[in-house]
Amino acid sequence: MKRAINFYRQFFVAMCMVFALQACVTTPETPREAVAVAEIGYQEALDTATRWANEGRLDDGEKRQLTEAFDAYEGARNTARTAITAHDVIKNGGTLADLDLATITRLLGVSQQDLEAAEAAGQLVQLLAGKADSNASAVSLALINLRTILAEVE
Amino acid sequence: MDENQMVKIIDVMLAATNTFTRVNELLARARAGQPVTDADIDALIADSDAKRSAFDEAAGNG
Repeated sequence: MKRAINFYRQFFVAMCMVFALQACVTTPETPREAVAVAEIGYQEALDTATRWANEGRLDDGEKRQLTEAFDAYEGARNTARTAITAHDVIKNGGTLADLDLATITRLLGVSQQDLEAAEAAGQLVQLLAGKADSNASAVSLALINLRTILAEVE
Repeated sequence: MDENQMVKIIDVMLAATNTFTRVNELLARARAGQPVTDADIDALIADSDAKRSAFDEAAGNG
């Protein structure tokens, strides 16, 4: 029995490595692509978790774990979208006055003074491009964390 | 390995396969000159929201 469990575990890990390698063949090149790719992975995770919940395969602790991971993913994704949109506005000739500063400073972890200083120095586009990149990466990490939890509740 | 674990492993593998297929389609379109737009992401998020509601209902989340 133990040998059988080990075999299936190794098989599962091997398949995961194959999928990971395949996924590396084509990789996202922009923050928008990264968010879209992560969103597809999120949907598949949601479908899987919903099927398990409907079939009674999850206990209360597992449901709570998955719910928290889903919330964390959505938070990261919404922050990334805020950064991407803000970057677009400034890239297309907008100014800080065109942005929702309260939301941006809260979600992106940057103060209004730093934003104003970057604008004065002509570096606001670069600052927000960096925020868009880093937060898109954070979405991918949140999805990896979510997949880890999904694998753990097996 | 019990039946529950086996089913879950197969489900995770199927989800990985589906994700791989959809991601490759999306990125192939992008490389062919159709970049990912806000409208694409909005549509994906709308789908996700519906799927999240289905999960919350199935999990008994308030």
